[in-house]
Amino acid sequence: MDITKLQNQDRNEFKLMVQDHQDLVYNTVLSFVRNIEDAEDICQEVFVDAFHGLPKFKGESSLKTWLYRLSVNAAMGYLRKQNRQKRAQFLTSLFAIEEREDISDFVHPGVQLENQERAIILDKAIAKLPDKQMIAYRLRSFEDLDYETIAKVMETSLSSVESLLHRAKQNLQKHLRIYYTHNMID
Amino acid sequence: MENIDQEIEKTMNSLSGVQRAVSNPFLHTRIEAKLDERKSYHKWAMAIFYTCLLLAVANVYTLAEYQWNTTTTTVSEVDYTSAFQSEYGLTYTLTLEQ
Repeated sequence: MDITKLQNQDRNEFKLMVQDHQDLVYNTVLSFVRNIEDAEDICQEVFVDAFHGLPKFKGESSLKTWLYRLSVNAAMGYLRKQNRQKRAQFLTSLFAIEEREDISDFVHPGVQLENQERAIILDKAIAKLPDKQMIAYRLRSFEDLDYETIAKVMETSLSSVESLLHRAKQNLQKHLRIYYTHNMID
Repeated sequence: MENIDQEIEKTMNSLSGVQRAVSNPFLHTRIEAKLDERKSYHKWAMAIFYTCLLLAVANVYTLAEYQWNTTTTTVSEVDYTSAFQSEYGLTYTLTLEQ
């Protein structure tokens, strides 16, 4: 891929970039937002932002790393907005009774059939992790990225990523223990 | 307890071997449409910006012009007053008695 052409916002080169990386962006976003329609919308936004950001792309990191970063930032922005809306909905629900749709039962289309039920439980636990731990864990488990790439995407050190993933696993085990303790007694 | 540990272990491994989801084949077409949409929006935004800028400059010019005219008028009004006073002999001198 010709970076110079991309920096000059060449539409044909940009089309190639989209074709080569659309699955990467879509899967990253989907693993965070857990909603197909929203993931598609955010995916489009990521590429539009990428197109406008290309003249400033210096090539310090690889195009892949840069797109991962844009995808994570866009997905996290969506999650933060969703959390704000949930808080506002909670306030309104104090005064009005209405049924709320639970989108947390989303199953990633790539999860094997026999694992789907457990994946839903795990996904709910991942959503409870602190932001940085969640980002590192999702990039590792869904995108199968190595520690070095995760460090580059998150603009942090390798040791930080190791520590984040270690703490994420510990926290997930804690959440799951609570979940199974309650559900097994029932 | 052992049972719970096994459940945790199995759940922690439930994402292993997760396949990649396939993105929309028409994604590029949609992105192109969004880019064109933004381009035309940008054009409109620039047109509105320059119109506002032009109006602001015109306003400043008019205000400056008005102020300059007001100052000139005041000066001429002063001259008018003294001319009127001398015409009708309304000038007076104040003599202090010793």
